Amino acid sequence: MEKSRFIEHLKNYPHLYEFEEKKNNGYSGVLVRDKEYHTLTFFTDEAISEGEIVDLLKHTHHGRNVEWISRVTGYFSKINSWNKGKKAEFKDRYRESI
Amino acid sequence: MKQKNMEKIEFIKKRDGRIVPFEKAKIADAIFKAAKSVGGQDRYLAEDLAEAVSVYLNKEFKGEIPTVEEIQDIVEKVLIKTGHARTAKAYILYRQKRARIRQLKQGIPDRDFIEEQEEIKREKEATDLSLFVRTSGEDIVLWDAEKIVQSLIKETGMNDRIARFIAIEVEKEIAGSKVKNLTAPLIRELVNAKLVEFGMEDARRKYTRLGLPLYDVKNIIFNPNKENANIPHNPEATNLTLAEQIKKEFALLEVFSPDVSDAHLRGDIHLHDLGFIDRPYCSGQSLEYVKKFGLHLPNALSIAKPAKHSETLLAHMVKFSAALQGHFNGAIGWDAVNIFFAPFLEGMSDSQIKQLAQMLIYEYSQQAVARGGQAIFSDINLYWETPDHFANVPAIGPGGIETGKKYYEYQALAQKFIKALFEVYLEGDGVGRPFFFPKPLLHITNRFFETSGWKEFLDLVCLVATEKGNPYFVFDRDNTAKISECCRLSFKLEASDIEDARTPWKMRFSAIQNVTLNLPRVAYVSEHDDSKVFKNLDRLMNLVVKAHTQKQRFIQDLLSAGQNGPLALLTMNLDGEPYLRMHRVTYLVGLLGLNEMVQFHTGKQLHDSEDAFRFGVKVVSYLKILCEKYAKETGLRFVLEQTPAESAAYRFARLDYEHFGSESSKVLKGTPPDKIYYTNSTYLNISEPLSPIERVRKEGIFHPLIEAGALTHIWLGESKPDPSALANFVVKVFQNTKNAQIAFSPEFTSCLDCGRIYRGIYRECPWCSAAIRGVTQIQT
Repeated sequence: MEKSRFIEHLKNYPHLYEFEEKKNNGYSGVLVRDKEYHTLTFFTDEAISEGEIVDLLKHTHHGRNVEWISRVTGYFSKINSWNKGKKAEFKDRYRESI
Repeated sequence: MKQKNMEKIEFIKKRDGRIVPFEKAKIADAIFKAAKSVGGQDRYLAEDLAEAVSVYLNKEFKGEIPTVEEIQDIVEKVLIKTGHARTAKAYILYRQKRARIRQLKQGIPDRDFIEEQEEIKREKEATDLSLFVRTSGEDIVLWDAEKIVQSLIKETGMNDRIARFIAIEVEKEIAGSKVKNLTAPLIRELVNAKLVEFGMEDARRKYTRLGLPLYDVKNIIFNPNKENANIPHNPEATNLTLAEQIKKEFALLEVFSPDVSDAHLRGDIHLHDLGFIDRPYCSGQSLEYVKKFGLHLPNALSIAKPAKHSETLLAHMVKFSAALQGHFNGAIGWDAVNIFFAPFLEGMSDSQIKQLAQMLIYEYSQQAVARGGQAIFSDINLYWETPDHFANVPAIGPGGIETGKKYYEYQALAQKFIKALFEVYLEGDGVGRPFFFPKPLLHITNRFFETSGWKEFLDLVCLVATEKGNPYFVFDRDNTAKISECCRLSFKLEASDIEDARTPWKMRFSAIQNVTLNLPRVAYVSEHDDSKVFKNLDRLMNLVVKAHTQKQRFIQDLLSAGQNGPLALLTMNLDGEPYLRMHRVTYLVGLLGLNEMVQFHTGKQLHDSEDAFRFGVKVVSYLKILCEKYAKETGLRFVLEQTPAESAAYRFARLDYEHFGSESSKVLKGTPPDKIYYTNSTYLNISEPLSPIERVRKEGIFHPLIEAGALTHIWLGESKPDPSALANFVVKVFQNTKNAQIAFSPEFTSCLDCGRIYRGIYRECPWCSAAIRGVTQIQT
């Protein structure tokens, strides 16, 4: 995609992204701060020209867009929906192989 | 009449003529109340003044018994003489108001009252009180005090004169204020304020409005529900949360007595699922009911005859589960699913059977239709062998007709189906995640090991356990027979139930309510004294029994409305008995935090010392005996249960940290102030590095005492043990321990960007966090 469209998209979502056009290790490109995942990602001009917006911006997650799954008391469920006590218990569980 | 003691006033005469002991504290209360209404804050001063009153009384009455009126005159005198004129005025006004209420109650014409009405009329004409009220019925109407009168009479049963008096007081308040937008809830609160002012506590309780603050409703609509991990966040789910809030308040106000409700609010006990007060707790049944009667539900839009094809039977089963979920707050469990499906599988190819297994699991795991858009809390009980109690039962086939064969003759088909089910569990969902529902419970009876092919089959189930974690292993040693469901609940079948097994559609088991004891708190208030521990357990069990009796009565009332009532489904009678068989239900007594109780009481945790462990066993045995005693007394079947306590383990911990800070800090697990919990039920410390077999064996010692279900967890985390090692472990547990159920639990990370699933817990998806050309992730 064109770099100008990439930048325009970032501008449209100021609550999600901050960005800066700059150089990194000799390559020119765009440094993006993802406010939701608290990450910094540098995209070279070349990567921008070759990628599509959705694919590109996924990289600002740094792979943190994950769900954890385990058994809460009886059933499996997503850990992010557990209450604080259950989350504390999850951290403490002694795990053992057989 | 002379007082015994010539020096001091000991008794007073009430208005109704009763002689009651003189209590100085009551005078202090009344003085303080009057003082507070004019800004006073000194409780000690009120007590000093009360002392002055009693000195005065002693002098005045010299052993005679004073009346309430006489005492009140003296209070007035003392207040004025000691220079508390404003308090005295408030006290006098209060006396006058009370006197008028008394007159109204007795129907004595009240000159003030009539005058006041006239005055209001004049005021109204002068100010033209043309206020508009937004009603709850989505209407805007002109202010009319008569509506308050009528609602007070209807809702609180007070007489017309008092109601009118209150209504006029409220009208005065409104006329004197600058309120522009009157709403029905606001008026109700103003009425309640008046009822409080005049000490009409009972009427105020009856006149309560249940509901939520605007702020909370907004919060509920915008933020996910964290109390139950199974509730999604969508409009159906917020409907559920809102309804739950109101029903919870209703339950605490109307279903349970104040002592029971207070014990719950304080955290001595936990009344589970109060938001579902108008439903029993959970239900276990067999497919035979659906096979025999089809889907013939009360108030249904259409009626289906018994299924003739396996897919139809499956559809009936799922729809009936959804209907049941609307009437129970816990799990819907199905007994011996593979066995009862077998007569429908005749002539089907292996791939058709696999397809049916896949349909069954996906139907349950993808339904987001039950309460609040949740999946159905569903369990399927499964058997490799044909257990003795079903072996010689005549099989029901397509069309609800007996096939002429017995169930043992369908064992090969039942085995094909159970294998297919576990193959589907092994594959997981479309991206390989474990299915959350329905939970498969593999029963193992002694006959399991006599049934050929058990080894290969157990390997398959253990492969599922190590890969995906789904199965529960339920051990029915010797002649026990159970149906399991929910997080660990099971119904032990008794002689009469085994009798029922000949007509398996009659096998319907339900628990009405679960009430859990806060065991650590029992230790805190017992101050390391054994006899106090047991005395406090007695006291708590008394409350638990009371709570159960009250819920039972409430459910019974709903049921007795029959086909026109809210629980019509549970009263449907297709086989000579209502669906919910109240004579066979149980009442669960949950245990929570035994480990912390023992730790506080003895100084050691359950795993730490034999003495501590023995004390734990003693506590649970004692509670079991209490259950049996109360069962005999009341006719209600009380049984101990290991409470799943998804929210209670956190709630008790928080309440104890708040109210028993110094005691609870010694034993609470987690990190204060808010990331804290108690160890569930009778579990050993969850973080202790005990070998799995040791944990299973030790925890299993409690299991025979806990009739309504107990379970040991083995947390696998990211490890993936060899299935044959797991199989050996399962066999060993069956043979060498008393443990009732075990489950192995792996953990997964599922990436929402790339859809990959990884074993273990990762903060970042290993795939997506890898760098690609031209994109650099800068560490922050």
